[in-house]
Amino acid sequence: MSAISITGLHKAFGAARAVDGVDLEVPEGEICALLGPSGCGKTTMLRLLAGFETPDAGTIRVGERLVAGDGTMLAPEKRGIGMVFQDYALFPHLSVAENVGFGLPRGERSSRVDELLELVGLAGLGDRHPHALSGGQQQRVALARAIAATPALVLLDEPFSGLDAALRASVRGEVRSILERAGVTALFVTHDQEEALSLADTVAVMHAGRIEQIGTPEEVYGRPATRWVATFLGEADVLPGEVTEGQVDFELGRLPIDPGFRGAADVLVRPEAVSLSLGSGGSGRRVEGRVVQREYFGHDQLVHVELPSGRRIRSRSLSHPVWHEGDRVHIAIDGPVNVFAPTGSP
Amino acid sequence: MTRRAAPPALLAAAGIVAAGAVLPVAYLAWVVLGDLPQWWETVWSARALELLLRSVGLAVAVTAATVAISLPISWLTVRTDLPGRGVWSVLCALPLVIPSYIGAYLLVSALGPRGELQGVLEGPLGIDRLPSLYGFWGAWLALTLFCFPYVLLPLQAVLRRMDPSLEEAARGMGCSGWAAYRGVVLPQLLPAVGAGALLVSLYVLSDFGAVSIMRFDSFTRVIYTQYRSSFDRVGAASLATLLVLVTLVILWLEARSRRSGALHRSAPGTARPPRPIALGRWRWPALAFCAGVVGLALALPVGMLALWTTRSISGTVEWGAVFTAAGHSLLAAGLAAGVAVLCALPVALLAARYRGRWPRLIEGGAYLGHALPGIVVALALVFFATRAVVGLYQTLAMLVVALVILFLPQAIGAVRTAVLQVDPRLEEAARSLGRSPTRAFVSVTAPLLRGGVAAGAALVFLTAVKELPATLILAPIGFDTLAIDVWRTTSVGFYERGAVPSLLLLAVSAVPMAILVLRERSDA
Repeated sequence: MSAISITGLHKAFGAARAVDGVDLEVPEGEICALLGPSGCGKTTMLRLLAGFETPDAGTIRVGERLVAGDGTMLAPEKRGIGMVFQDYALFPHLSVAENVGFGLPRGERSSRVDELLELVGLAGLGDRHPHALSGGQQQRVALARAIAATPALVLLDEPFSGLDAALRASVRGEVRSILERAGVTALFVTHDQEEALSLADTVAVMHAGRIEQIGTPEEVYGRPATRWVATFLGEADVLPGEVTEGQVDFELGRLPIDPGFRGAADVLVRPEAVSLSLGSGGSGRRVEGRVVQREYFGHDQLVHVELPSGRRIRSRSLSHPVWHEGDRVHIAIDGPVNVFAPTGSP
Repeated sequence: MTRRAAPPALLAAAGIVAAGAVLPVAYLAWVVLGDLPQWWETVWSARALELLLRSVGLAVAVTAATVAISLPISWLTVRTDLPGRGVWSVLCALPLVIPSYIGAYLLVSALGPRGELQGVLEGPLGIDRLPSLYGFWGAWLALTLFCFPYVLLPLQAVLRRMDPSLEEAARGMGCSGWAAYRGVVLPQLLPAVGAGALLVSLYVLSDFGAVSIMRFDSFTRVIYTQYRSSFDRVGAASLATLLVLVTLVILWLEARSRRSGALHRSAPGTARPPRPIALGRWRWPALAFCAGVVGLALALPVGMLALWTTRSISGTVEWGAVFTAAGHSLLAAGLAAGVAVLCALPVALLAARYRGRWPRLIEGGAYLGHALPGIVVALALVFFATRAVVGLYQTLAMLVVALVILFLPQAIGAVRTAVLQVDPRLEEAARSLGRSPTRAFVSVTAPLLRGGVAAGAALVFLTAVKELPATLILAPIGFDTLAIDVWRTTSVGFYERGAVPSLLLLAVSAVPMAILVLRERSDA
């Protein structure tokens, strides 16, 4: 059964169409990321789901229940949806325990609050006030508050944007395990692809008010449905090619791919699919290029190579072997590439 | 979010408040303009034009003098190594606490005919006549001395924020110190000077206390005497509309100059503190100037008050009457403060959270009192109560209504700031946790607004307790407040009897002042 099903959702602010015909299903118990650049309408989606905005058209169901559309507009407090706000929106005049227990009936408050604080690893901090907590702790309070009343669904708005980079990775894991232990369905909004890919079961990539692709992290990264998704998610270089008979010819060789069309094509190559090797020898058709730039990141390196045609391509590999500017290298495709119809681009 | 339409209940509540603030004055205008020929005859007479000239002349003279005092003091206290500049800063702000009628009375009792100064001079020097203080120059002196902080404070604020490197750059390009000040610093000060000057000129036009003690026939005094002596209420009201027109013209001029004026950019907060300019030998004249201003605006009135108080206490004080008056003052100002913040809440919420034509219009209406002299609002209410709502005349309620109309803008300002500081996401969080809109407001927003509401109430109380003209006209018979007491005794020369009520009034208004200052400290 789906925890969320959205059909034909539209929402405009004046002339700006923030959400422009979205369909989305999120299965129960899953963590779904709504990924897109800022201004793509993802926060509006969240606010439509939570009930802070009224859709212009379309329906939203949470579980079996229709919450918006078809003449229905359920108030936010009647939807049973927990929400973690971008800046957490913790009540500054209430203690941590009072924040967490805010949505609970009086009788069961104290025992449930202790249980939740235990769950998020903040046992014993119930008497503190939010301003006396670190950013990561505040975030866990917000999460505990959102799941306190065991909602069917939790929405998280850019949940990690307020944390510094070093903290983000560890908090991400914690949040995932808390959500799993609580057994709730979660939809979170982010502009950070790494966050979406590492945390979510399903990623919905949003662009200009529409969902471009929905799939597992591996699917959206490895087999992007559109050229936009391919370039938004991760790095890619574009080379011109030609599709014939279920294969594509381009500067780096011939690959058996059937994109469903013939003729001129754009071939998108991710840097990690490009492998470099030294000098001559070896068999087959290898292309030779010249190293023009190298960026070193410690755990890996990004090498810019100039092809015989003068085009450039990037290769990402582990830190060895060390390449230098001017090195002659052989270039091979060692991974999937994606082919799209050209759009009059570079 | 501001983009959504305001809830009808909020719109209605705020609309009622705004309508209540506008109604009496609208009624006054309607009554007066209903008989246009007569209005024209009153307004277009030699007497009215002379009155206009006198009032505007006073406003211009006082404004010019306050600017002339404030420019050097602001620069001396912020930018130079003037000895004790922190102390001078505080001392120069304090005259603001002294209501104009108390200040004027203390000045007259010191410098006026048969005043203390003459008493001192008469013995050894045989001077038995000083130039009379009454009239234009007396009013000018009193208003200048007690209003100049309105210009000084914003000037100091701008100077403190200003990036000193601009001035240094000018010096580096070969400008002399004075040329750098005139070319770089002064233009940046102009918006602040304009804002302060607007406050001062509006204050002078609406002031009743100082001009009536100084017996200078400006608009407010003439309107009052006409209203009191001849019962020619329509005549008084016609003059009142003329006064309103003048204040509107000033507001319009100010708005226009702000629109066309250069954008003044203050440096980011990280600018390093400026190195104070060494005054050298100029230190002594600078000190003398500050001491002279503080002496006249603060030391002299405070000294005179102390003198009259000791004389009064060693003589006879009708303590019963004084305490009754104090009780009345507390009651009227307290009620006004309470009602004002209640009325301010919906308006502030609407203004802070929603945009659109209606919210703007409602906020504008509620701010009307800001532009209206107290005597006009009082007169409008007299008209309204004697002709439209008869039961209201001569009641405490009417006085409170007048005070609320006059000081509602202060309450709205304070509450609005507090509302803006409460993230609307908090209310949304409460709703997502199962609270209805009303309960979300009560459990989350309301507790967070408490500080702002208290500040607004304190501010209204502070100004309402000192208010004179509306109180004088609208207080029920026998309901004497401290302000009325002070004015009635001292305007006829019973300086001794005015001392104790004046002191009490200052003490009573010092309490909310202290609350406000302490709050600001804790915020910072």
